[in-house]
Amino acid sequence: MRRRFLRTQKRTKPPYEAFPREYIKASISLEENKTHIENAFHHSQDVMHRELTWNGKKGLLFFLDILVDKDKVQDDIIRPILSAGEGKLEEIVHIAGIQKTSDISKAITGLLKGQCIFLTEHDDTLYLLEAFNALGRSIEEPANEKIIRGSHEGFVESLSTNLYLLRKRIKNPNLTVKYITLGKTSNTRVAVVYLHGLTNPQLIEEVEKRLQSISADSIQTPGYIEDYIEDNSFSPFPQALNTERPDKTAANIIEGRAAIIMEGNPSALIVPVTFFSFYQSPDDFNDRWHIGSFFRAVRILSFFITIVLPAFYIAVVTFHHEVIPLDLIFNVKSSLQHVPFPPILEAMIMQVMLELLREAAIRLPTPIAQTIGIVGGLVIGNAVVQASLISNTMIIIVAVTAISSFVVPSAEMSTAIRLLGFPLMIGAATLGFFGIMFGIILILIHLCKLESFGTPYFAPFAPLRIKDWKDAFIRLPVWIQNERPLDAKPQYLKREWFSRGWKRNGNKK
Amino acid sequence: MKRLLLLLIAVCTLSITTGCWDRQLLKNTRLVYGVSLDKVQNNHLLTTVSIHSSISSRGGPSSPTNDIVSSRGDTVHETRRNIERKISGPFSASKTQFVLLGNELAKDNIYGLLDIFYRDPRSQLGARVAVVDGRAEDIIKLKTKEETLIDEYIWQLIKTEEQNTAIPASTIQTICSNMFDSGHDFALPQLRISPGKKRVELAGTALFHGKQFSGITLSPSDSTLLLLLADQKKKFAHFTKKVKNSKKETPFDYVTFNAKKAKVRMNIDTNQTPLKVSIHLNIKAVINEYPSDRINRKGREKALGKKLTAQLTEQANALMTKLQKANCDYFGIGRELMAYHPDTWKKLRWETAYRNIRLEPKVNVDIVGYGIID
Amino acid sequence: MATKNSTITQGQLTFFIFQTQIGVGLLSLPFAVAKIAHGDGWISTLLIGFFIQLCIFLIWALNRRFPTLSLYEFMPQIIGKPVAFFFTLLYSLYFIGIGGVVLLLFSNIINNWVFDVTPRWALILLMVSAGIYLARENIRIIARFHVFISFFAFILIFLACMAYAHIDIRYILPIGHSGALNIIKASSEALLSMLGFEALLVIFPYVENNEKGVLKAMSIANLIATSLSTFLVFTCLIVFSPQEILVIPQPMLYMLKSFTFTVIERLDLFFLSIWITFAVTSFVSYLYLASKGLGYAFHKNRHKNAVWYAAIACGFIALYPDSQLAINRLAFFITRTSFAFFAAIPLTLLLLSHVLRKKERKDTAS
Repeated sequence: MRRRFLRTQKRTKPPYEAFPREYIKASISLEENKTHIENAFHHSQDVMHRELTWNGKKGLLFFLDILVDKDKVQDDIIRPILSAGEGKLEEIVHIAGIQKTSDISKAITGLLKGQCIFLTEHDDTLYLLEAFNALGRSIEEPANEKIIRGSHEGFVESLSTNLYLLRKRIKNPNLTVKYITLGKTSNTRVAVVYLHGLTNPQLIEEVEKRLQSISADSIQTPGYIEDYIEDNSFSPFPQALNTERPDKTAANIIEGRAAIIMEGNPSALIVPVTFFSFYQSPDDFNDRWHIGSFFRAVRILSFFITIVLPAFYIAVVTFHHEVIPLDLIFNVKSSLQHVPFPPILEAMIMQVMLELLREAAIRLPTPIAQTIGIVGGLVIGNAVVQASLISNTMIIIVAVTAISSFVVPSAEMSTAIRLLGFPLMIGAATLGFFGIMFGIILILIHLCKLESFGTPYFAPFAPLRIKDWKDAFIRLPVWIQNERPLDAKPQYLKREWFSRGWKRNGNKK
Repeated sequence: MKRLLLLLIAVCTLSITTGCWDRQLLKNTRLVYGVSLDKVQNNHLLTTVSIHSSISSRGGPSSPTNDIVSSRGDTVHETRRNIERKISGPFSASKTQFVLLGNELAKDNIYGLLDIFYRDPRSQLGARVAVVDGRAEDIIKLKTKEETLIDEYIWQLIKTEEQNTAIPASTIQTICSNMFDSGHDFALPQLRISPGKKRVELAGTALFHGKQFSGITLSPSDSTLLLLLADQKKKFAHFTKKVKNSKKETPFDYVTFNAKKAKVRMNIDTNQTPLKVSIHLNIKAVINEYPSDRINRKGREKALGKKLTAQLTEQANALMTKLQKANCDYFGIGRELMAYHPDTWKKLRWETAYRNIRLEPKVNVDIVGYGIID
Repeated sequence: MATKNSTITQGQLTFFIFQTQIGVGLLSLPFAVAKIAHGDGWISTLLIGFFIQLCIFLIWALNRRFPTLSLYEFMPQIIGKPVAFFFTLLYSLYFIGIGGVVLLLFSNIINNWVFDVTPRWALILLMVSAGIYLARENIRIIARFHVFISFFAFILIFLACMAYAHIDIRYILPIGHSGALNIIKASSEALLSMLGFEALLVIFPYVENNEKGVLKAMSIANLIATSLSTFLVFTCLIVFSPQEILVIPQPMLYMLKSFTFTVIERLDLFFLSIWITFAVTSFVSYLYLASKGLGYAFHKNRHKNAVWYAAIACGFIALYPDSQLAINRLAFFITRTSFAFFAAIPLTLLLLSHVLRKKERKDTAS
């Protein structure tokens, strides 16, 4: 109740918000305009200005020192103005993006985007000149989505570079980009990219509606956006695909999905997604189809191993030892002999230890991370068995679980399913196989209920659509996958027409 | 928020109740590998179990050991309880691989003895059952045999002999079907301690009628033939027959062959009284050992085949007499009658009629191979 | 009345009905029919499938007169509001009753086979909570779940096929030896494990294009369910000798228990674990049907509000019997009364609607 009250309460505008959005008319007096701009930035010292004479009048060029390309300002703006001295500004400066405005707040926004403002005495026209300095790292392969063969490009922190990477892949005027500015304080630019005419207009409408309704101070990472727009925040499953790969993004756009890309972050959020999207990797399509299918199947298998294996083992040694065949049971039993903890505790300890190791290794520089791996994996693993704290078999089980959880191409999904293993383990320790089975049933019910932007999350299994299995847990040759998957509800399903006609014609001869 | 709280409560209660109720930690259970049952004075039962475990020395390789415990009682379960009082952890019969029944006990109703195996959901229905000539307990009490634990020893012995078609592959479950079926009897392997040498050996096959041991045991060779006639051949089926009559008895008079393929056809002639049942067995034999001569000579193969045919048919006839004496309808002739000749079946009292029917076996041996030399 | 977001396709209808039909009862079905029909039990199973097909025709004929209304909604039009209210309650009670029996048989089997110490309420609580979680949703999501779970049927068939290493076909020969009368009698025993098709009364309006297609979908569902149960019954009958099966109440499980493999043993535990999903789907279906009725009667057709107390009622029904005898008696009672609900009442309603010329007007229909 209280929350709802707070939400409906009228929002008072805090003083630190970016700037007034309302139109402010520029005055004729140069001095007045100058004061206005300087006040807007609270005399911040990186706001520079340069006095110039233009058409015989006194003029001022404002720019944010750190945002603009100094060379550009000197060579393409100041030098032409100084050498010409008069004329029409548009014809003099060597800048592609010139805007004229009489709105000071628009000019201030422009300064923040790396534009220069040029204004002259006795004139209320402000010129916005593009001089943005695209500082940023070069295009590299994303570290957490490496592939063996294929494109090694990855998104970077610059939105325009990222859009360039997409445009490069889809040379089509229908590739539409819509900008939305989010975050009242951070003022972050977000782009929604989709293929006009293919992507379901209702989807775009829904995405825009959800993005527009974000009313928050700042958007720091795509995680913020995800939290705001996803259907069910309490679900353990990610409902938008986070990727740093332009090729993956482009492929998804062509399947009729929308990508949300944020300024300052090298990743794209793809919606809507299904469970199986997280198990696809561009690698599948770089290999021949049966190899791709095999690896796809291995990944799906890894899902089952990750969530069920530790729980299964706990259930077996706690409740159902009859299940273990004769030749194995005495080995397992002897490894358990001196272990003081019940199996559930053993598993929990090892899993937590593993998460600690993983977390520690991420932050550290590579050489130290390797040391941690050796100390953690080998030394502790060995010592823990020697000291009879944990059984040999449990170490194997936990290790296999961890390895298979890392198989998933998507980092969020990998963590999500590893965490899902815990409730199943508790279920297994309470009611053996039946505890596990109930856990799985609840997960399945949840998957059937879950929707991502109006499309069922567990498609093509629930609802069932056998046609779409061609790219779910196997991948058939692309010429068999001649229809787009239905889950994103694209406007046209057909995507391939008789590409192997030569074969039939050849046979006829 | 409310949902999250509910979830939290659910997880907490689950964690608290963890390990209540039916928990049976593998770590603590004492796994029984083999059981023997005997009758002792005052109709008490004596159960002897071999509890198998492997002791590991802290991370090192483990070595298997076994612990032999026995106890008496009035029911099998009571004896188990009594045994549980003598051991360190809960008793678990879920991995029992074989049940040995003493001779005396087997002559009673064995279903009653095995009842607990059928009734208990945790029991192992795939366990083998065998009769022991003498007291079953004595075999388990051998404890180890040639570096092998007695339980593994017996288990391997039974499994190997099943593959050699020397004993029927009967588990607790398969004999149950037969015990309830009035038109089908079964047989169990019989073990004994070889005289003097303190070694376990296979004595043959004990013939059962209904739920009781008839007291008649077939020799291993007879059992192989029985199994072939009942179409239960496994991997190998070896026979050794005398095929020459030298003046002096030498081992070179014999031939050993393996029935590579065996086809059986059973025919019931209901028009005749007593009922005539003919069983035709066609064996494709491969000679394993024929020390006296070469085989690959014109007509030799055929002649040898004929000799074997005659000998095996004779053996089969003797076998039938034994079966009828034991009243053991091993071929399921009664079941056959019920299924295909229900009218005849209704007229007969199988309990007594089986002994009087005419069983006519006919064995034919064709030699199809003789190893890698002539 | 069905809204756009809560319709199901005909394929989903098939699996919904199939999953509702295949429930806990199937585990004891071979035993139940063999008690009376012995080796001919499988004929009884086929026979009941045929009988159910007739009932499906009946229900279809009734519902197609009111293509956009469910049983609860069109009853007032035929027999007047007060009587219809009473029958709505009766139907809800009946569905709750079956839901309770599903829980009861399920918890009883788990208690007997795996966890003899675990209290029944713990198992029932788990089932009920899973049931509430799903039954609150609209029919489309329930149907999605049911379709997905149907894949598990392949695993069950695969496990059952293992038995074919130890069969004796002679156990069921000669065909028809127990006599026509016994076969028919036994088929009434089989009814409990084949119930579920009466769900059509309520979910008919939610099916897309619900004219002829529904009949086809229903017949396919019944065909699959009947052949699956006949297959399982047949398998059990040729694995166990005729006298033996009379002492084994859950022959399917017993059969799997005796198999041993090099990697895994005790297949019955796996079979049972998978079977849980079938029990859950049956339970969810009945819970949904019951809460639909209660929702119509008390909550302005919002079934969500009724789910939780309907589920708790099922739980209490399942907790009540304390002995095997009481369990059997309750199951028997429900089976007998079910006849009224899927045959007698619909037949009466159908006749009345013809006599009184009550029919949904076409202009409101589309």
